Amino acid sequence: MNSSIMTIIIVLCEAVRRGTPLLLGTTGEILNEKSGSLNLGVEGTMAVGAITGALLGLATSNLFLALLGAFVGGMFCGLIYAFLTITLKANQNVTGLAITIFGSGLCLFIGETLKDTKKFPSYTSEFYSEITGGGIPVLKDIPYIGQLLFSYNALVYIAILIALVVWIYITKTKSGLRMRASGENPASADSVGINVDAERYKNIVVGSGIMGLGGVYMALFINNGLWNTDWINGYGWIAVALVIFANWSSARAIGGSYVFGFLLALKSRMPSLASAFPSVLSWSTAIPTELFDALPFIVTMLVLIFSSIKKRKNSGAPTGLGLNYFREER
Amino acid sequence: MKKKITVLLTVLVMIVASLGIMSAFTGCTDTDDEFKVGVLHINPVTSTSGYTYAHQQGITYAQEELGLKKSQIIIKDSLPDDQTDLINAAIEELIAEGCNMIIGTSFGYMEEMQAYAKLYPEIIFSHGTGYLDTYGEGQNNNMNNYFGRIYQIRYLAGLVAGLTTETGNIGYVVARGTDTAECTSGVNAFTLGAQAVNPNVKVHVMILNSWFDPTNEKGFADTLIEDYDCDVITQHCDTEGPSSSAKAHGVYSIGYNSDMALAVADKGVERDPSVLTSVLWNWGAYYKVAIETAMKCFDEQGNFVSNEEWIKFGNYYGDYTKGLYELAPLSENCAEGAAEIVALVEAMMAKGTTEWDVFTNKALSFTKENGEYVVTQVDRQLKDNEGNDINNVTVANITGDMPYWVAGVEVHNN
Repeated sequence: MNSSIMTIIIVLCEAVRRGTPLLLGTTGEILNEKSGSLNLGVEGTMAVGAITGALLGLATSNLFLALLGAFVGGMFCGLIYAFLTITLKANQNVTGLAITIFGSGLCLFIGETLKDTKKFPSYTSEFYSEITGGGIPVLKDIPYIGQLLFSYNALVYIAILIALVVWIYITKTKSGLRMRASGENPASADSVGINVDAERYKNIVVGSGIMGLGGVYMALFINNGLWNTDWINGYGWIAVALVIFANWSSARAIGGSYVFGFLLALKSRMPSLASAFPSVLSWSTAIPTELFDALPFIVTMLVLIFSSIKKRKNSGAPTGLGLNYFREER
Repeated sequence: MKKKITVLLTVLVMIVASLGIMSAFTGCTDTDDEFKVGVLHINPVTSTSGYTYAHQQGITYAQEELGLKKSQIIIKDSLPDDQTDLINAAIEELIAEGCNMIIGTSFGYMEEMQAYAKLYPEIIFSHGTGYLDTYGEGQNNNMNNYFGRIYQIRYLAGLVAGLTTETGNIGYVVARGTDTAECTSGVNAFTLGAQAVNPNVKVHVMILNSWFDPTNEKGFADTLIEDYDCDVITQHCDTEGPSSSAKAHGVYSIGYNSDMALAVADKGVERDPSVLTSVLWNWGAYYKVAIETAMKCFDEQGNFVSNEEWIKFGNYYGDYTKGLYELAPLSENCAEGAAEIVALVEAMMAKGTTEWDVFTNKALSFTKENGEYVVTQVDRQLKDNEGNDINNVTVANITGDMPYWVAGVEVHNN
C-alpha cells in the first residue's frame, strides 16, 4: 500500500493520462466551433485517427509517424465534413453524426479485417516500452513532483502545447480574429473581405487533425496498442460537451479535461483513495461501480443544464455556431 | 437541387458503407432442407482472442468433426447481453432461416432463449453459462444449459500464482461480483489454489460490473499493481488489457479464455514470458456432443422426430475428465515446482471429483520428499471472508448461487 500522498499523486497522474485524449478532442472541436461549425463527428474522427495512426506506428515502430498518421487520418474526416457542410451546405448536425458512424465503422472494419486475417501488426519490444513508459529523464525521478509533472509520455506535453498554441492563435492573432469573425457573424466577415469558406475549411481540417491525435492516444497509450473493438469508448462525445464546459477556450480546456479525466479515473481509482483516506472516504466503497461509469455523463448533463440556465455575458459560444453560410442569402 | 442530391448521395454512401461493414460480419442465408445450427455470439465472430473466439473455435471444431458444411452453421454476432431487441431479432432470424438447433453462448441470452424455447418445441436450444432450461413435466424439454467446472483450472492457476508471487498480493480483475456465481466461484477456487501453496497470500479483487469495458479492464489492473502492490494479475473478463498492463509494469499475469501469452507478445516473439499461463476453454468438446445429440432428434430431411435424446442428454456440466478446458503452457517465469505441483493436481482431477474437489473441507498440502512433490489431503474448515463457515457446496451453488468470497479475498469496490 502506498502512502496517502503517493496515492493522490497516482490518481492525479491517471486523471492527466485519461484527460489528454479529451484535451486533444476538445481543442480540435474548439477550432471547429469557433469558426462556426458544430462538428459532432469527434468520436468518428478520433476513431479514424486511432486506426491510421496506430497502424502506421505499429508497422514502423515510430511514434512520430504514428502521430503524423493520426493527424492525416483526422484531417481526412475533417475534409469530408468541410466539403459536405461548406461546399455542399449540408446540415452540420447530420453530417457530424454521419462522420461519427462512418469513422467508427471504418475503424472497426479495418481493425477487425486485419485481426481476422492475422495481419494486425504487433509491437516491437522497443516500441512497446516507448508507448507504455515515457517521462522526462532525471526530472521524473524527483520524489513526488517528478511523478506528478514529468512522468508522462510525450503526447501529454504535446497536447498541452497544442491547446496553448490554439488559445494564442484564437485570442491573440490576426488570423484568429478572422476565424472568430467567420464564426460569429459570417456575413459581416465576408463584407470586410474575409473568405469565410476558406477560414472554416482551414480550421475544420486542422481541428480534425488534432482530434485524430486524441484518437491515436486512445489506441496506443490507453489501450497499449492492442486492438479492441471500442478504442474511443465515448471519449469523443465527452469532448463535445467539454467545449461548453471550457467556454470555448482551449486554455481552460486543459483544466476541464483533467477534471473529466479524474471522473473517468474514479471507477478504477476510487478504492485506492478510499483505503488511503478511510475516515473521509470509506462510504465510497458502497457505491456501485456502474455509477462511476455514468459520472462523466451526469456531470456533462449538469454542465449543459447550468450553462443553459445562466446565459453568461462573456459566453465564448460563437453566434454563428451551427449555421451554414449562404453568401447568396446575405 | 443538384447540390442537395449530391449531399444526399454522399451521406447515403457513407451510411451504406458503414452498415455494409457491420453486416459483412453476420452470416449468410441458405434454405435447403438440411440440419442447421444457429449460434448467437456476444462479440464479433472475427475476434482472434477472448470469449467469442473461444466459443467460435469450438463451433468450428464441432462442425469439422461432424462433417457439417459451412452453410449449416449460421452465426449471429455482436449481440450485447442487455440488448433484448437485438437478441430477439437474431433468434427470429435464425428460426426463419430454418435452424434446427440454436446455441446461445452468452449469459444474457438466457431469458430470451427460454421464451423462444417455449414457443418452438421443435427446435433444440442450448444455452451456455446460465441456469434456465425447459426440462420438466409439461414443458417442451428442448432447452438445456451447459457449462463446465472451470473452477478446477482456476484452482490450478491459483497454485501457479501462489507459488510465483513475491509480494504475496495477487490482483484479480473480475467482470461481476457476488450476484454472478460464475465469477465468485472462479475467484474463490483461484484463491484456494493460491493458499494451498502460500497460506498468507491475499487476492485483491476489483469488480468491473460489466462484461465489456476494455479501458477499465486495463485500468483496474493498473490500480491493482500501482496501489495494492500486486505482482501477479489475473482476470475474469474478455480483453488482453490486464495482461498488457502487467507486462507494461514488469509483473506477471494469468490470462483467461484465450492464450494471452500469444496476444501480448512482441513482434517476433512467439509467447510472452510475462504471461505465466492462461485458463482456457475447449468448447469444442461440448459442441461436438451437443450438436451430435441434437441431430438425433431430427430425420435426414431435417424434420423434427422426437427430443428423447435431448432429454437424455440433459443439462451439461463438464469436468476435467471431459477435456472441456485446460491450462496453457507454463511460462519460464513460473516459480520452481509449479509444473510438478500442477501435474500432481491434474492427475487427481483426471480421476473425477469424487476423490477430491476444490470446494470441500479438504485442503491439499504439498511436501517435497526425496526431491519429489507429494500431495496430501488435510482437514480444514472452509470460511468466507466475513468469517462464516461454508459447508456442502453443491453444483447448483457453483453455477447459480455463490454470493460470498472465501477468506483471503479482499474486495476493493462494489
